[in-house]
Amino acid sequence: MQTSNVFHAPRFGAYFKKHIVDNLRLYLMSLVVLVGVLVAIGVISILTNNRETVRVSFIYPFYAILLFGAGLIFTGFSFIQLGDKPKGIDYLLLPASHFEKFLTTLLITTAGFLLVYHIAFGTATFIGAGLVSLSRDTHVMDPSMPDDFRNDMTQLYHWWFMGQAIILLGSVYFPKYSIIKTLFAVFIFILVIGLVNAAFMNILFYGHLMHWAASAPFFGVGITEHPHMEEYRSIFLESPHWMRETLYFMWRFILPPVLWVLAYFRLKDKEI
Amino acid sequence: MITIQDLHFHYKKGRPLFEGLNLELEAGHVYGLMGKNGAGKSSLLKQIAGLLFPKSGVCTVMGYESRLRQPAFLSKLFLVPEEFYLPQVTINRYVNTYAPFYPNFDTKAFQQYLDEFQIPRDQRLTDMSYGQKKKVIISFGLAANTKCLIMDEPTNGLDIPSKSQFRKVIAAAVNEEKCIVISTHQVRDLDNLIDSIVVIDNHKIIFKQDVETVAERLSFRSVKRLEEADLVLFAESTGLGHSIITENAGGVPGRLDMELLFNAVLEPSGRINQLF
Repeated sequence: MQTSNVFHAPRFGAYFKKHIVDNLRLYLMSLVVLVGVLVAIGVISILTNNRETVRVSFIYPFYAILLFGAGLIFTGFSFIQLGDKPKGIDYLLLPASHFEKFLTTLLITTAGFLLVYHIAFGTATFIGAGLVSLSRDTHVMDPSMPDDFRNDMTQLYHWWFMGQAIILLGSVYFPKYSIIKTLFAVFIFILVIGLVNAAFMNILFYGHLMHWAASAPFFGVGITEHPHMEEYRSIFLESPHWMRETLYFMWRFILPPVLWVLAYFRLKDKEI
Repeated sequence: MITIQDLHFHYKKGRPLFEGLNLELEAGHVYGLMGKNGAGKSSLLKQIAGLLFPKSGVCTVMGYESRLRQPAFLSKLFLVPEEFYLPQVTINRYVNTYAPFYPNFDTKAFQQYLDEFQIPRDQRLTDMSYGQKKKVIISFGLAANTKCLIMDEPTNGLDIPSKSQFRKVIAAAVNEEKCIVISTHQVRDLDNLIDSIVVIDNHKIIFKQDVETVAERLSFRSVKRLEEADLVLFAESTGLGHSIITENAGGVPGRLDMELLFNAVLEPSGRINQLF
């Protein structure tokens, strides 16, 4: 029977296994370093703050910063092999489909990373709180959650997936120094959007803008009413609610998968 | 098996590497791909393997368009690159993780090739020299039993005894279903190994003949003075006299000097090419 050239479960399984075997040592070392760093940061910050109890709101910034830091650095190395000719040849010529190779990377940098990160963070919190509790002879963790915690976490993950998708796409385009190059490309992209938007706003609201750059792309523009009167008022014209909601929806749910698809097609077109 | 039609390719605009290159390679042969440095031997092999894409034209292998790199195609082709990568694992683990992708992989044959090259099976790949690693990847490529086997400068980094072993294992691996393409600039390494010669130069294939036909039509010998020979097609001075190519009047195949033939084929007059 002819097997699919796009996805074949046993071949995908074999490729996934190969990927793990090839990178197991690196992954384990990274995990140990991550737990070590988390424990060190946790213990030092608890001890230096001299708090009696540690709330979730205190841990949250560490959780978020390291989630982004470690996750995006990890994703940045996704296609590092394409920057090295021998490794790139080995990668591209291994008889698995581009989809299977890409899916492996996507699963490892999203589900795999999040799973390992939470295990590492939980372990580090347990070890760190345990050490401090032992030294003070009292229980230091306060498990109560702030009211808006769930919303904060949801927002955090939307931003994380967006960042992950951008870095993943960047790592296919720039296998070497991918994070720096991707961030630079994002900066240029935002700058261009901002300048184009400012140019359009200056044309559309000529003579009425509060300032030449008083506009936020997709969100609105700051203008002055009756600029010749002595007392005038400035207002911020917002784009329609439905438009902002649509853009926000797209930002959260459409853009990350679109960037993944772009990364996949870029991988298919990769030459060495 | 390998069909390249009207291939155009360049790395930089205005500096073409291939211009309308056509090539047909059949199963059951060992092809020696020869060319000067920078002629495009490695790039042509990469086109065949699907690592580079034609700017125009088509490259198909066993009916698959190579640029698509479909798994069904990749499992029937193995490339031994000049610069290769092997993961930091033992040979056993390497085989366990890579062999499942090649349905016809022959574990027994792999062991035989390793034995021939005197490579211990339990050694870590990272503890091996470049030459030993090359022998492992050559052994794996042969044991993978792919219909198309491509080797880019496979004898680079091999010592003299290993080159003989290499010739021996390649000869043992040849069969009617397999197409082996070996590129090298060390043409003497291909002596008694290849059965067809392909020379690439000036963006095109300028010579493609089987060794038997060449040996039937041309005679390769050494003379002390050029006057000793009639109708010399090509001559090269050596310290002891001259190496010459003449027409093989008797038609009885004789010794073939690959290096001399290569130099003669590259000669601007193209006299050798006109005979075929």
